[in-house]
Order: sequence, then C-alpha cells, then structure tokens
Amino acid sequence: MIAKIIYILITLLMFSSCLKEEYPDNAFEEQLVVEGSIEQDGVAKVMLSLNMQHSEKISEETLRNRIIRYAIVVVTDETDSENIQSEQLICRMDKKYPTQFVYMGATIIGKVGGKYRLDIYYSGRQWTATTTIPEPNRLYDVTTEIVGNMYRIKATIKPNADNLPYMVRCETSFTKEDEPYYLPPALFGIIENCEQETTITINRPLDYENIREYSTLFLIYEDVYIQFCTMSKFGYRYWSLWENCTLNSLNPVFPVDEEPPTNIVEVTENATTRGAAGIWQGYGVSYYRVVPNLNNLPKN
Amino acid sequence: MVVAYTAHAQQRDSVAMSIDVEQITVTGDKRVVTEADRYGNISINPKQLISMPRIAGSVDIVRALQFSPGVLVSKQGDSSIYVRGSDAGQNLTLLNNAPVYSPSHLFGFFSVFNSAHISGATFLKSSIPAQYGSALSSIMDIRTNSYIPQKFGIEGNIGLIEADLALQIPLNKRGAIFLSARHSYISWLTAAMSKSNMNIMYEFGDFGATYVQDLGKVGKLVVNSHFNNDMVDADLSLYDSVARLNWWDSTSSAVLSTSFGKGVTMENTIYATIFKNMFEANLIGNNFWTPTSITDIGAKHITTWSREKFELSGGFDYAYRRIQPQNMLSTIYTQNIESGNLQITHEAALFASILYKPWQHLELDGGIRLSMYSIDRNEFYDFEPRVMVAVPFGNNARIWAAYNKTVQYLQLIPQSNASFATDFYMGSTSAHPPMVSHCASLGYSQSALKGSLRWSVELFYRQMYNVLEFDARLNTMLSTSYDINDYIYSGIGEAYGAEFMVSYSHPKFDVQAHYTLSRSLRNFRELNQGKPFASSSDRPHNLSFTATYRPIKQLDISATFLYATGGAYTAPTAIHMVGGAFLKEYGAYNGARMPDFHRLDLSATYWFKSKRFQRNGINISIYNVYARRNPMFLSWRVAEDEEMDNTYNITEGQPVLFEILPSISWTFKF
Repeated sequence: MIAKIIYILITLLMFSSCLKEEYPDNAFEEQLVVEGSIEQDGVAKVMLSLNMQHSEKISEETLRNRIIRYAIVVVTDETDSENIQSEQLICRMDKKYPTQFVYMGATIIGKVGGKYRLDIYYSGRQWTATTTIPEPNRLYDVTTEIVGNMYRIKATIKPNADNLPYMVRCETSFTKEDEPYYLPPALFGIIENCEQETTITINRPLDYENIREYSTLFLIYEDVYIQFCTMSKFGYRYWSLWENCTLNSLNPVFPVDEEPPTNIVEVTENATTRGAAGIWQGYGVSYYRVVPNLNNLPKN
Repeated sequence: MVVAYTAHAQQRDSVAMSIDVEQITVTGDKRVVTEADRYGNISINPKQLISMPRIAGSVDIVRALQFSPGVLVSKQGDSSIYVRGSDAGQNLTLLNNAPVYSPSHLFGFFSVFNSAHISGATFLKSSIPAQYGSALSSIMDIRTNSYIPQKFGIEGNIGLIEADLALQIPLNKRGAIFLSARHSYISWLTAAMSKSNMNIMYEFGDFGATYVQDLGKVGKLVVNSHFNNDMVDADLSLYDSVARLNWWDSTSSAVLSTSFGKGVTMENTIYATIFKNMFEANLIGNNFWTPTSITDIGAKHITTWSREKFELSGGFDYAYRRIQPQNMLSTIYTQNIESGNLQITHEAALFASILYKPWQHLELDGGIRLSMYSIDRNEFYDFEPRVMVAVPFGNNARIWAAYNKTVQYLQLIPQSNASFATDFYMGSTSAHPPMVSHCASLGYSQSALKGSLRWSVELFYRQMYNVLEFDARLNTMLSTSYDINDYIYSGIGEAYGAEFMVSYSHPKFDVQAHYTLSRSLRNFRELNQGKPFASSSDRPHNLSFTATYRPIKQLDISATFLYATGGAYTAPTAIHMVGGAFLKEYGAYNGARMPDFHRLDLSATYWFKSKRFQRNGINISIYNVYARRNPMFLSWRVAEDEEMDNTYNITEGQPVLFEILPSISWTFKF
C-alpha cells in the first residue's frame, strides 16, 4: 500500500512538471504614443511620447525622458489630389500641453471636409495615419446655475446630419490673458450620438492630482473655456474607451483590461501594422467662454 | 451514515446495499463532513458540519464543498464553485428539485441553506444521472428534512455576525413542519472595515419552511419554500458615488413521493423560482442601474423500478423561464438609455437510465437525456448520453470509467473576475448557442485497514463548446448603440487533470487530504489574438486538508487548510499619457496570476453535558490563523512617493476581506 502511494506521488510530481504557464506574454514593449489633432481654421498639433513600464516611478524627470523632441512630423493635405501640400511641424516647448512639448504646423490650415495625413519618422521607423475634419456644430442655450459658491453649466445639443459623435472639452482660467491652449475632455463629455435635442451638463475634467477635492462644478470666480467638437466614429471609440480607462481603472465591478484602439499604423516594407498607441483626429469645433451669471446669486 | 440522499441516489444505493452492505456499514461509522462515493460524486453530511472550523461562528454546507476533490478554491470572497475547469455558471444547485440561482450569500462565507433544515446533499460531477440537466459541470442536489419528528425540537447557533434558528414541529403522527431562519447583524464588522472615504453596509438573511405530510398509500408530500436576500450599500465619498446591490431568491416546490410496492417508486415535483438582482449606482450625480431577473416555473416526473440486479428510471422535466438579462438603464450622458430584451424560454427533456449489476465484478450505469429548448421561435434539440462502468475487484478496490455529455441552455454571463454578485443570466440564442460539454473520467479507489484508510485517484478530460466570455466596458454599456450580443463571445474550453484523495479514520481522529492537478484553457477567436489562454477558474494546483481530533468525548478540535494557485487575470504592463491622463496598457488576456491562495483555519468545540439539551456546545474558531492576505482582486493606483517630491509610484492594491478573524459561537439543540 505504502509503495503504491509513493508511486502515485512520484507520478504526480512528474505530471505536475508538465503544467507550466504557456502564455506569459506580459513583457514590456516600448511603444510610440501619439496625440494629434487638426481642426477647421487651425493648424495641426501633435504630441509625441513613449510609453513607460508599469512599475516605473512617475516623476518630472522620468516623464521628461519619455517625451520625443527630435522626430520628424509631417502633415500632408490630401484634400485635393491634384494639389497635395505637406509641411513639417515645428517642435516647441509649451507648458500648457501635458507633454510640455508640441509639434505645431504653420501653413496648412484645416478646412471642413479636408483630408489630412500624418507621418512620423523617428528612430529609423515610420508611422502614419489619416483623418478628415467633420462639419462643426454648436451648443445652444448655454446657461449657468449657481450652487453655493460654485456653478453648473448646462447646454443644449442638437443632432447633426451625419449622426456623428460629439466631445466636450473644457478648462478654467482666472484671467482673460491666461487662455488655455490644451483642453482636456470634460467628465462624461464623450457623446455617442444625439437623436433629438438634448440638454447636457458640462462637468469639470477629472483632476487626478486633487481627486479628493474634485467637484464636477466650477467655482464662481472661474471662467470656463469650452471646445465643442464633432468627430469621427473612430474618435468616439477612442475617447469613450479613454474615458472608461480613466474612470474605471480601479473599478472591480466593471473592470478595465483593454486600452483604447489606435489609428496610428507603422509603415514597414511589406505592410502596415499596428505600431503606436494614440490618435490622429480631425475635429469640427466651436468655442465658448462661459462666465457665471452672478445675478443669480442667493440674496443672503 | 453517509450515503447519497437524492431519490435517484437513494434508489441507487438501495441496489448497491444489497450488493455491498459491508462497505456501506463501514462508511456509516465515520464522522466526516464530505465523502466521495464509489463513483467520484460527493455526499455531504450536514449533521457533521458542527465540528468544522467556522467563520464568525457559522457552519455551512456549500463551504464544506471546498474540502472535496475536484472542487476548486477560487479566491477570498468568491462564493462560486469551480469544478473540473468549469466557469461559475456551469453548476446548478437544486433544492428539492427546484433551482436556486444564488446559493451563497455575498463573499461565500455562508450558503443560503440552514444546515439544520437540510437532510443531506449530493454533489454530482463524475457520473451525472440522466435525470439531471441544465448544468455543464456539476449538480448540487440538496434535500430538506422530510421525516415526521416525534417531538418538538429547536436548534440554533448564535455567532458574532449572525444567528440562525431551526424548529421542528410535529403536527400529528403524519404531518410536521420545519421552520428555519437566519439573520445577520454584521454592521459592526462592515463598519470596522469601512474607511474614511468608503462606508459599507451589508445585511443578509434567509428563511425556510417545509411542510411534510404522510399521505399513506399515496405517498409522502413535501412542500418547501425558501427565501434569501442580500443587500449591500457602499458610499464612496472619494468619487461622490453611492452604489447599492440587492438580490433575492425565492424558491418553492412540492414533491410527492409514492411507492407502489415491488420496487416501483414515483416522484413528482412542481416548483417556482424567482431570482432578482439589482445593481444601482449614482456616480457624480449620474444614475445607472442594472436590474436582472429569472422566473422559473417547472415540473419533473421520475418513475423508478428497482430489482435486485438492476434499476430502471425514466421521466421528464419541463421549465418555463422568463429571463431579464442585464438591462442597463441610465441617465448618464445625453438621454435615458435602456437595453436588454426580455427572454421567454421553454426547456424540456425526456430521460431514461439503467443501473445494472449483471455479476459481482461489473456495474453499469447508463442513461440518455433528450433535451429540447426554444426561444424566439428558435428551437434547439440535443441528446445527452451518460455512461459509467465500474469494476469492483480485490480487497475493496474498484476502477470506474465515466462519460457524460451535458448541455446547458441557461448561461451565466460573468461581468468581472471579482466576486460582487453582478453576473447575470441569459438564455441561449442562435447568436450564442447552448453550451455543450463532453467529459470523460477514469477513477480508481481502494480501502484498507477495514475501511479506515481509503484513497482514490480520478483522471478527467473535458471539452466544452460555446463557452462564453463577456468583454463590454461600462462606458460601452451606457451608450445608446449598446447591444449586449456584440460583447458576448463564444469559444472553446478544454480542461484536464487528476484528482487525488486520501483519508484515514481512527476512533479519536479523522484526516482527509484532497489534491487536484488540472488545467482549464479557453480559445476565442476574438480574444488574446485567437491564442489559447487560461480561464479565470484555472487553478493548476489545488489542495485541501481537514483533520479532526477528539481527545475526550466532549471536545472536538479541527483544522482545515486550503491552497490553490492564484487565478488568471489580465495584467497592465505599461502606461502612457494621453488627454492629460495616464492610461494603462495591458498584456496577454488572462496572462498573469494573482498571488497563490492559502489559508489555515482552526476550531475547538466543547460539548457540555446536559440533560435539558440534546446538544449544547461552545465553539471557538480562528479563520485564517496566520493572517494570509488573500486578495479579492488586484488594482493599481498612483500614489505620491513618500521620499521624493513630485514623484509618483504605481502601487499594487490587494484588497482583502479579513486577515484573521477569531469567533465564538453557541450551538444548541433541545
């Protein structure tokens, strides 16, 4: 009996050694990250960086080291196939952008319906993406509602002809001179479609550094700059999953295990393959500056 | 005596008894809680649960399954059962033939069944008789008390976070009522667990009532009703969010058992089950809620003819189901969103089986189940053969081989790997056809030392088709174009492994050890670039150990130990910045492992000598003696570095429910 048990245990150990993990495909792969946009009556703006290991410390220095300042970034206007124009974007330091460096165009100005190709050359590799600028739409009946020493912004949106998604970006500023150049997406500001006239609330973008003090409302001494964007359906997929990642990355009930898709592909000798994270997107935009109506303040 | 309790199993053992009376007698002397029968299935003796280590003073019939061969430990706080590579929703719990869709309270510490109200349970996973359907991997068949007591009785248990009570009330010589209730007073514990930015309130309860009437020649009627409810409120001030999860299960059945003499018996059942689950959340002023429900009305008939060398069974069952799958309602974004269509399904089956013992060294158990299912004018038919061949030989040894084809038409869609009871049910559709499993097993068991020492090994291989994975994101669910079918993927599953068991009984102590070595893999075209990946229930190594020592008659000391490989999950591998926020990048689907799970529990019960009480004992238990931090799930948050300014670290969070939990409880019966 004892011999049989020993025999079983030895067989067990031999069998056990066969049960190795077969798919430990979790090694870090360095990847280009692109956040690029072009809007009507505006120039192209592209931020480039590299991703970092999940275990890496995040500091000003490590972030600085991941910013790409020496790439060649070219935007080509392909709207008219007989009059294709290209320009190389100029990289400049600008602390109003999250990466603090931005590649910016000067001569190619976006037009509604225009088609624009982005080419990035870096470290002997090339990436490309194409986008178009959709028709812009506007917000209607933008109102403010005072809540204590804060206020809420409401606006009405209407359907557009192509049933394209919307995105609301916003930022605050204390002085007229201090107008922000980069506007992050408002919380719940990614709107898939609008089948009928609808009133929306424009929320403050999430502030991760001060999450404990975060409020969706704005302080009464803050002016709010709003960018109301029309974008492609891919743009919606990207920003919707982006929002999901930012909101639910700690949510065990509705977990996240997938990053947003990308439309940036790497150009290789034989084929174009996925090679970078991020988005190159054309936006039809309208801008607003909201100042709270302090006449609505409670009298006491 | 530890034998199977279901009608089928009783009848099966009535045949077996005439063949192998000595073996039955031997097992009957044991004080074990769970015991694998000669076919690899497991019988649970609720009366012996009192000697097991307790969580906060309570004993539990489903938790006892964790100490059984082939039943895998998932992780802390998970109430689901994982059997031979199955997913949580591929097992079915029956209470007097009626399905119970939420057999455990939150986090799996307590089943919804009061052990004093239960006469026994059989867990079928190796040889599943043809009368059982609607589950791919296993059946937990629980029977309430059905005897006529001689006198009034009361028994109960008062612990630190809940109290339960059971009454047996004889009405006359031919009728009786059994009542049971349990209610929690867990607020003090959840308050202790709450943090400054998170308040959690949790309460649960369950109630049972059984009426037994001896109808003389007509037979015995057992009418049972059971209700259980859980409610969780979470106030997360950090995100200005409030969430509430509330679910309840109501099961009622009437079983008429009739004996016609000459070995012919009949059992007729009608039942109704209602399960409702509601998750509500208010996130920064925006609301969404996800009601889901099932209403089941069904009937089952089985006739059995038992003779000395064979037993024939045949019958049918039918279930009408009204299913509300995850119905995402929301006022977030621009308009009210409503998704999820009501499903009406009909499921029926004809079954027949034979248990035949032509001579001493051969036992045959075969059956066939013809199942039919319809939904939205789509109809599905399948046949499910079940066969088992056992060869007893030598000194109490036997070898057996079994094959089961099982089909499951009601699917549990897993929303996450965490254990928050937010998974939901859906009927199979033409887009997501019924799940099918082919499972073959080969077993060997032997006893020695007059039955004191027993050991067994069972190898299994399972192939599954149309198993499901759900891959929708919250934002996706809240969009107007959300169609749940776009995010449910059907794929192939494969599981294989070996289950080992050794037990030794002595007048003063009992020891059991179970070890399962297995893999459970999935292959979906849409996931992991079409490459195979480990299923969420994949636990290559799973070990359980139980020991009970009785130094004196009044004292039981016991210990249990569980070990399992950590579960598979999809891990972040990198981060990048877009839109002013950091986004995680993820590695291979289920390509990483959570930390291994292991836990030791100790228990001591002292039984006072008392003339007034049949049983009067104090139990002291320590859950998780060495305070192992077994995480419920993993999460990563950005935290400021304590040493360097303007520097942040991504730290891994491993939320645990309890590290160590001592408890004391009073158990009584009179």
